Amino acid sequence: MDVEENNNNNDNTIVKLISREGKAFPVPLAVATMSELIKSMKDDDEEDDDEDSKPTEVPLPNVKSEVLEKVIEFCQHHLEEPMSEIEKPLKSQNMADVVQKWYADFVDLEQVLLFELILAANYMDIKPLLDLTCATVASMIKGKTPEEIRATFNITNDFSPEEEAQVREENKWCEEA
Amino acid sequence: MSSATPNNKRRRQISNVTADLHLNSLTDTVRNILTQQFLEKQDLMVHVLSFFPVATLLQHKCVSKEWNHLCTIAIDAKVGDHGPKPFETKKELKNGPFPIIYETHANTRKRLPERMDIPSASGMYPRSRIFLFSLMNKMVSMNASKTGTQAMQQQWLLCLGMQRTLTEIFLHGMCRT
Repeated sequence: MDVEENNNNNDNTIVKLISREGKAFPVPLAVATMSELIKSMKDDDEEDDDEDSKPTEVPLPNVKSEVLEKVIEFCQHHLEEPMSEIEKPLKSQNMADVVQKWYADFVDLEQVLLFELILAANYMDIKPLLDLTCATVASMIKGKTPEEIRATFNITNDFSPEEEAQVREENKWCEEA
Repeated sequence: MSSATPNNKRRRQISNVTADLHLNSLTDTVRNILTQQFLEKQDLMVHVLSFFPVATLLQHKCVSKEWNHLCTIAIDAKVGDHGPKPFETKKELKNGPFPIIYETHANTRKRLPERMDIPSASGMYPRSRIFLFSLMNKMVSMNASKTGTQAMQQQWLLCLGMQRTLTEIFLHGMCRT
């Protein structure tokens, strides 16, 4: 752990994250700065620091309260028990085989909330959360046929029958190999 | 006066069911919009697909035209850029000289080749293909305990399958079209 990170963890500074609905979520700096977006905003703030003791407010207009709550829950737990790196290729459809139980339970969500969480992790630039949520979507795809994938994500097959046959034929050998 | 006559009760039940149906269809709409929003984020989809091995990505190419494109990007990201592209087309790449060598060798020597002669092949084929030959030699060495024509034949069939997979994996970026 470098000096800067250590300072962040011992820092009692509180940052207020403001959701799209305007709800404030006060969190310790160490939790907030797991987001690279917030970290860079804080770094910019420190350059024109005026010793103001008021908690910094970080507006997150792209993140709903419900989703921000989940993001904070993840970041808080990650500081206590860092998530193990997710192996590629994904070795199982069961997330409990891939990450610690807490993280597997954490992403046991309704599909809509899972997608919102991915968008939030991407926007806030939180790599472990993005890895976890994307791996969860991958686990939903794993072992499925193209037809099942289309059904899961409501994807329209825009190939003509000839085009689809050609793509299948081109890649048939990898099924045989 | 109580309004809970059987008719009123039934009407209320029907109205509740209708409301549930409306809610379900609204939830479906929201889910579809969010799913679409997510699927349209190319970088996020590529992140999801990065959890699959190349062979799986090749099979997923026939989901839709967009997925064909996304899987290609994910494969490229895994394989990396191998610089100049010595093959004109994918067909040329896949029907490269290796199967011909295999057949000629088997016909002229009346047996299947045990190993590729790397030094003599070095001047004849691109470096990447030589790399495949040496990988195949390694595979044969690893299974040296298995003897007999049938075992050798199986080895070579496996090698041919491997060669095609490896060709796609290692030479994916090597054909111009």
